Amino acid sequence: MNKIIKKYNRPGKWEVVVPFEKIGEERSWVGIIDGRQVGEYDLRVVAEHRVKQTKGRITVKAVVGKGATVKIFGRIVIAKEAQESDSFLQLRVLMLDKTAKAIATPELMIAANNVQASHGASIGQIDSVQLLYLMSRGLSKNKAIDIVIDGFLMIQ
Amino acid sequence: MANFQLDHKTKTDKYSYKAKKGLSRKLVEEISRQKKEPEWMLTTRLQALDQYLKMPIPAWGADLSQLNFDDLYYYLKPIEKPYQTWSDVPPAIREVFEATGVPQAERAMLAGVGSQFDSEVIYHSLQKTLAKQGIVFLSMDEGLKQHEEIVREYFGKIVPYGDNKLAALNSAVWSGGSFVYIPRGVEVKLPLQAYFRINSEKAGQFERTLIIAEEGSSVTYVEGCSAPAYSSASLHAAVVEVIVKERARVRYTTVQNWYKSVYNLVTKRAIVEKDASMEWVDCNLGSKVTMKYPSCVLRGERAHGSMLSIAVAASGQHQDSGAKMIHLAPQTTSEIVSKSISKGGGRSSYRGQVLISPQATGARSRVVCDALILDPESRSDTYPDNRILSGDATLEHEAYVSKINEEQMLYLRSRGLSVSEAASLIIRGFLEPIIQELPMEYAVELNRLVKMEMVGSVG
Repeated sequence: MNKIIKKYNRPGKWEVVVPFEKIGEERSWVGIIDGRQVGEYDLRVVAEHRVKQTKGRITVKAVVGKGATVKIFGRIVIAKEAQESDSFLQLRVLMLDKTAKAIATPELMIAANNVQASHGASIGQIDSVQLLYLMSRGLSKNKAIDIVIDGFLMIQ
Repeated sequence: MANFQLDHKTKTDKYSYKAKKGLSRKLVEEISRQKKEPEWMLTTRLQALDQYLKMPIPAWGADLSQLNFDDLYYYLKPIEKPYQTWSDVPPAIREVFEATGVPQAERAMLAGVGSQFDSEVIYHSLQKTLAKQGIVFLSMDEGLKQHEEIVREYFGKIVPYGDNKLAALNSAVWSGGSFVYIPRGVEVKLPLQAYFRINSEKAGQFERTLIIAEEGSSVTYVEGCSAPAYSSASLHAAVVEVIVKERARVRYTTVQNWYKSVYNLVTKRAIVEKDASMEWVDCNLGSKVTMKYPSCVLRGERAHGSMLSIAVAASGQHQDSGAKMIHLAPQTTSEIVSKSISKGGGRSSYRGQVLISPQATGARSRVVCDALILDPESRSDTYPDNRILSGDATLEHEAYVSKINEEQMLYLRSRGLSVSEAASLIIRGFLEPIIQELPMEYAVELNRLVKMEMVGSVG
């Protein structure tokens, strides 16, 4: 599957449309928001299935630091003509600080019946078990947090 | 059990008072005068009317352009006083109720049955033992007469008249609805039931319900709705206010089966205090357009809010429903489970909001929306809005839209079931987690309604 990865590590506003215009087209789009700087990060992604037998995978991963706000709007549109399409939208947010704010709005607009469309959104904190493990291996807390974030955001 | 063949055809023309079509200051004054209300209620009504005239019709959600607010009757009064026993109710009215099965429900030893026939509650009873515990279950009008101080303290505090245009309209012309008061520590074991109906063409129904559950109490309230067959649009704009005090628990169950010409635009909200729990169970089958998003304002620590909903949108219907969970205190939790079915060109939308405020540290919320689309003409939308303004709160959200699972279908057919039997079984399985939360007679009724709705829709 054709895969595109976009990284956003400064506050800003972005709009992305992922169109499906060829029969049988498959696309995967990954957005990575590193929101460790103070400010507002605003991302809109729309997957538009206009013809049949298309397959889409949209993933947005974000970390939200002190004083940062991350807004993610994701929408799957499956037109009446786009039967037998399969689409999944995933929004995953890690909150790094009490003052972090996240607004996740995943929408589905489905006008065909023979399709699969779903979305999932999760907003949570760093797993304390992972942190404890890394710290038990001698890493400082900050270093451990950085490693977990890098793993989560798939930064190498 | 209800006979639905009769149900939508029985009508009555016997009203002791029927106002002219349309809304005016004079009409609002007339309603208040007929009800012999205290001055403050009339003032509230008139303020609400001014507010109503100022506010725009909601531009979002379902299409309301076909609804003509000037072409409605705002007040209808079938008889003079609520009856205490079933045999006092006039035969013409009784016939309608017998068609919908209320006396059977009564015989089944339900805690209390209140029925609303257009604007006035005509039949009201409550088991004596419950009354002895201090439980109040009255029509809203009687509630205002007998418990004016309590009504004055809470009326319009949870849903103020400026909340939205329909709430303003309701506050101006409200009539009937239920007033429920559960004293401290009292657990009501059997559900309290009210049955609402719109029975006159072009009638608006504006019932107003207020439920107060004092500390440590618990109650289940059940409302069912159905309306006879009329072609022109009727409007149902209710307001429901619920106060759940510390450690109390309230469950509010609705089975909505308005006829498919009714606009059902309802505002329902609960304030939930410390360690208390509010549960909405909401089943929308009927109506032309429904816009309804029951909310829980989780104001005290560890308050819990939940919503279980079913929507079935058939030809010509738009079910735009959902829930709102507003987390304002630490460790509050909420859960929304929504299931919808679209068929025959119907449209169902889930529209919901979870707001976790900065004060709501450690709050948790879970939202699940599942939708089935049965044919290529139908449509399903999901519009959730998750605002997490506290860094140590947790939210899980998932939604899924699909057709009937082919593997399940194939399996059932290989066991000898016909296409429609198999589809009906799968749909019942899909709705089961919510139907099992309904009181038994409503579960049976709902299963039957769903089965009726599904005839000829698959296969």
